[in-house]
Amino acid sequence: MPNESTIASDSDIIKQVINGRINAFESLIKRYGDFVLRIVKKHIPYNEIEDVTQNAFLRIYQSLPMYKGTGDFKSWLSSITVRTCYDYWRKAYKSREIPMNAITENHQKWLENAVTDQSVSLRNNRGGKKEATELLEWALGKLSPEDRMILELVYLEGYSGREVAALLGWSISNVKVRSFRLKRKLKSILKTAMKKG
Amino acid sequence: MEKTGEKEFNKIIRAFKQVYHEKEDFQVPDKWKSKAMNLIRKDARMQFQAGFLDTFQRFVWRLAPVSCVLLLLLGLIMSQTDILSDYELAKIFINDPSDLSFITLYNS
Repeated sequence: MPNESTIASDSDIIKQVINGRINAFESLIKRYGDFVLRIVKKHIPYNEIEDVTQNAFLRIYQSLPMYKGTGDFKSWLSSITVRTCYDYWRKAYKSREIPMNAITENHQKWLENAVTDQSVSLRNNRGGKKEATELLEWALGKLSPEDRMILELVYLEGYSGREVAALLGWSISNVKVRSFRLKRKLKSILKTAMKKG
Repeated sequence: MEKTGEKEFNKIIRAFKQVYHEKEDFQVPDKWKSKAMNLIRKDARMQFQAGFLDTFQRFVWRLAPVSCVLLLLLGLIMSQTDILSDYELAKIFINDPSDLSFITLYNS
């Protein structure tokens, strides 16, 4: 069992990496790998998770000299990771590689149930877990990369405007205006989905 | 959805939240960690090479005025010393067979 003195602090490891001991970075990957991976999993399609996580760590490595050591290291890591995910969607949006599912009758039924039922339980697929997942992916595919990040961070993860602004490096007012407009846009997208079915 | 108000919208978002958070359960094999380290090592190597080239280029430009001064100095020295007479002497020595035979004799 390693005691406190044998465990190198984050700042010690960062110093070592900056001074050229690249292998020390492996300790950071071991320490924060799961944390970064958890963020990526939520924003990125399953088949791209590995690549985006690797890119996130590459960006973390390249940005280490800019880390001032004043704030929480985990927050700094999550900010770089979220921005890497955002860049992934920007690239996908530019090259029009966003997968789009077709809306079926099942999705429409699920939406109607969700709106009329007292509670929507998704514990098993009888509650329409598959339909909900596909519908969410469909709705996200209709949004710009900026709106996608706002929907995921504000509405699905519950971050405040200030937190999202810090994560993405945007102004708070930008986040607030975008999240307000997004709500209207999302309502209209869902309305279209119900009509399409 | 015509009658969808805030309450209905929130219901849908709640359901979306549930499936969104379940994405975390997706299992990813650990091999990405070693791949990430390889990527970082490769990047570090490239940065080192780029850094070396950069330093080399900077030195080349710094040494350029020094080499110009050296060339000027050499030209000055050459014009001051009597290099031409030495050259003429060597030419005569090579062309004259009697001198050559003398050298052969001397060496043997």
